[in-house]
Amino acid sequence: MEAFEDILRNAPIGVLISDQEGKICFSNESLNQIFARETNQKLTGLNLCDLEWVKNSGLQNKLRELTQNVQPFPNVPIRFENKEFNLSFEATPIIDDDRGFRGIICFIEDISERVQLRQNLKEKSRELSIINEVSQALSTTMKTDEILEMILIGVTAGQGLGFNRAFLLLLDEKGDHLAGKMAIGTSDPKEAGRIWEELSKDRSTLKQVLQSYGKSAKQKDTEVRRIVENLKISMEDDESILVRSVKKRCSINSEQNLSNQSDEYLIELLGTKKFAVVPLVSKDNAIGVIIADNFITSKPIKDEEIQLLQIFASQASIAIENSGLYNRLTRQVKELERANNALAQNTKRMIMIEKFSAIGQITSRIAHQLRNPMTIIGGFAKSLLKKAKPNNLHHNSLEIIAAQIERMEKILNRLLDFTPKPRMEFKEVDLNLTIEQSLNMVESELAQEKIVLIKDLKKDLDSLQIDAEQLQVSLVNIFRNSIQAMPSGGELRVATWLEGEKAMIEIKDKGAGIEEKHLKSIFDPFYTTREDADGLGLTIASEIIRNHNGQIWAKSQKKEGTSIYIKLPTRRGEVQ
Amino acid sequence: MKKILVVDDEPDIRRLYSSELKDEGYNVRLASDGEEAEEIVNSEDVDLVVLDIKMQRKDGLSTLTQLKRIRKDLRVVLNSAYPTFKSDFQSWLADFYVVKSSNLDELKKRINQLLKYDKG
Repeated sequence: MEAFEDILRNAPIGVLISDQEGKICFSNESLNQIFARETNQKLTGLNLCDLEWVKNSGLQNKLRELTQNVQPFPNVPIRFENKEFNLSFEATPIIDDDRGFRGIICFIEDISERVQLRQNLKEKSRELSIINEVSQALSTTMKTDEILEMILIGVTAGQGLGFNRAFLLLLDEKGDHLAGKMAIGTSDPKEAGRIWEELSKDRSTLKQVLQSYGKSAKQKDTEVRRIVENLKISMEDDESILVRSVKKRCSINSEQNLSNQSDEYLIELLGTKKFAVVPLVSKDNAIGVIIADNFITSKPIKDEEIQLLQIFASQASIAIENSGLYNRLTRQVKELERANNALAQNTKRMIMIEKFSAIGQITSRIAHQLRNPMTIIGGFAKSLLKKAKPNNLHHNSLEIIAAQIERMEKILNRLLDFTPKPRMEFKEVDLNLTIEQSLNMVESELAQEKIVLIKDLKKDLDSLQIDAEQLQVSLVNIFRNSIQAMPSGGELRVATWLEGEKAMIEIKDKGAGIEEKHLKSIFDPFYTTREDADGLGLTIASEIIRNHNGQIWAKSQKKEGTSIYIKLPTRRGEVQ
Repeated sequence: MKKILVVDDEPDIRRLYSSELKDEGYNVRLASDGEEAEEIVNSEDVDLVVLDIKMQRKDGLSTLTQLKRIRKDLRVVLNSAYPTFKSDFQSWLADFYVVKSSNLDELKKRINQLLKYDKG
């Protein structure tokens, strides 16, 4: 019996034995440790039901009823001396064969730690499932705005982090300011309850909330939107809680972390001093912050919640980055497609031109070789015919020769239709595009002469009927002239605009300028002030403009430069 | 009597034009290439030049530019087997461009037109 008592005394779990009255007759060391009592303090003699922790945990009555069966109480939360913990409590009645119920033996274990761990595990798995749901939802879109919205919903939805409100601020392009971009939540408690109730109705998962949010709650967010629109913080304000969070890349709980001066405005706008700030970091670059608060419930923000918020923020950052990459990629693919199309078109045109010019070259070579003898034969035949009398024997023969030569010439002319036509070919063309293409042709000359190109091409030019190739020749000639006027660099300005029913082009150089008396001659053939020029460039240019029923003139100021103006009729002008 | 200079490297063309233009009542001078033409225009009083383009030696278009440099008011009718040179900007310096044909009516018409205008 003593050996048995020894075992109980040293057992790793608390043991408590009472008699049939409930008077404690044995307790061991482990039990004392659970309640952190000193070893010498004896429980023996006390009534089991009078123990403080038995009383306030409601075990009392259960123990009184205990007469026959073993009663396990696997998890009993108790309060003892202002400490809260969990006990596993198993009470077994001691029954003597002769005398019946003799007392109770209790095995007591402190399972607080285990309960806590289980709790943590549950919490973690909830977090994981939220993150999982958000990242799944995020993977369904590549639009930055949608991603940001989802993040904010995740932060505020009850199934998510359950914050009352969330605000998103992004760094502007220069990195000078943090500016409010988006917000979710409501500042009106009644509204908040209603919205989330509505959203949670029949929808158990965050995913469903994410999907349905847009429809039901967006229009209710006017107050938070007003707040977020007014949020703009300079990145130079190092005292600001938001700037600190962005610069140090760390989450901050606003409690005891606010700056009196810098954050005054923020506190006033938000209407609370209690909020969490987490930075959004994408590829080592800060891109913004999320502010989350419990404006309505005033529930304190726990560090764990901030940690979870941080995980959300990194999800958001990855998604934003992906969407950035995706958008850039899409843009590049589109550009590539455009370039490809242009190339394919050019190639097609080149092949056509090659083909026709090959035919043209052969036929015109033959034509040249044949035309001369035909001109000579036919010419002399007609010459003789004029002199021969109609009743002359040879008159008829000469007539036949002349007629047959004319027939051959007609065949040749038909063949020559394949050669590139010298006629102007007017088509509806984008004038600005023709200008751009012409500028491309002098690009290297501009670079070589260190000339800065300034373009001011108005988009709303009416449609024009142009022979684009000819106009290009005209423009390139004018551009070259302007470039040559600026041998030590300068500025070439090309502008277009609509003036009444005419499209205007201005080509302005910052060269030495032309004297008034010479200005009229610049379009004349061979007029040039340079040794190396043939003086035909502007003549050709003006001839082409005239063929377009357009006008060309120049204005110049000594030392200021020269402007060439071109006026072309638009489609509208033609109709009227 | 108006003086016309026919520039062509084909002797039979020169012969034909000479005969036909004389019949029209013009004084005709002949040249077999561009350089010869330039010499004549430099030294003689020529009213109009009928100018071939594709020639063995100096071609017609650069001759045209040269001739216009010598005398800006010189009348020139380009006369080529090629219609394609019409798109060459240098050809715009000429008054007319007539494609060679056994039918000389067009050529004569243009010459008459230019010289009559000058008379007036």
